[in-house]
Amino acid sequence: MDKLKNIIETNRDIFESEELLIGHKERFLKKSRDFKKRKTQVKQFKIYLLAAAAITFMLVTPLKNIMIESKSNNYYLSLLETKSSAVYEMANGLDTYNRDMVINTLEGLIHEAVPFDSQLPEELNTKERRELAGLYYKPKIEGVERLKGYVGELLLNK
Amino acid sequence: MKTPSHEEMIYDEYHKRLYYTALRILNNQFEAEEVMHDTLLKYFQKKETLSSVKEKSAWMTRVCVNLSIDKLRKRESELFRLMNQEVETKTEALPESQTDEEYSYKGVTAEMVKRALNKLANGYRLILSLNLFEGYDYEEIAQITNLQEVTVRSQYIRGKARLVMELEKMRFGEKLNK
Repeated sequence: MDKLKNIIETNRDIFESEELLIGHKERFLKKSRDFKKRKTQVKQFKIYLLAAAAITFMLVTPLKNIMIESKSNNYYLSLLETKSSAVYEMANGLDTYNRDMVINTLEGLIHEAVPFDSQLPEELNTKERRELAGLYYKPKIEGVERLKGYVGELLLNK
Repeated sequence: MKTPSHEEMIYDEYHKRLYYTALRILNNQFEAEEVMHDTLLKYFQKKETLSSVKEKSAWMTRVCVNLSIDKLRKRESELFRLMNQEVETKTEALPESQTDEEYSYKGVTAEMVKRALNKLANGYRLILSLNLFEGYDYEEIAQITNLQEVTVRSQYIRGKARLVMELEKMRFGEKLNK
């Protein structure tokens, strides 16, 4: 065996003879108590955080749905109204024949005997309503835009 | 009389061993106590249980060594510069007898070895302590310290040579005093 190792092995007590600092155990027990306390506090904080997140989610979700719903109903209708008003205004610059033709076409596009939204079954959720509104109104808006382009051309060639 | 809690019983059983392991590496009583406390706190946080005394002891020693090295790293980057330096092929300028494994420890006491160890640079003391006191081999020390095995071996040899040099100084001093 290594001589140095031998000295260490046979005299281990001499190498480990220094007294520990006074109060080391009390300091440890205090540290341990503080640590446990901190751990409990962190746990509590996490619970509060989870509760707050759940409450926020519950509050925000219906609000978000309301916002989405209002957008789906009003958004397309107001867009259609804005675009059709512009066509009405432009049509005023045309001769009687063309103006009547344009206005008839425009009204055919935008007129709704029964509002689209009220035609939808009640059991549909917000997302489905929004998708259907998009499918219904987008071609109408495109039609109004094309009509606007046509009126523009007529006005140029006048 | 109040019965000691499980925590206290574990503390009483292992604290000294951990304290001396940390003290040998850090050479500072306050830091050694802190590391000893942190090791035991880590043990109590540990979810999986270690059934045998041997397993517990090995786990705690390893954690204690790692925490001590972390503390040492924070304290002085110089140590790790020393430990990471390239292994020089030539040995240090020491008398042949002092670098030789066959150095005679005649007249050398445990107290002298203890004092000589405390005089060593932290890097040497760390590697010598891990091998001589904790029983880790070069490969394990390399894993613990993130050094190459060849570097550990080289630092061990140099550290031991330094230790011998310190012992020689002490022996010479004692002879002079007589």
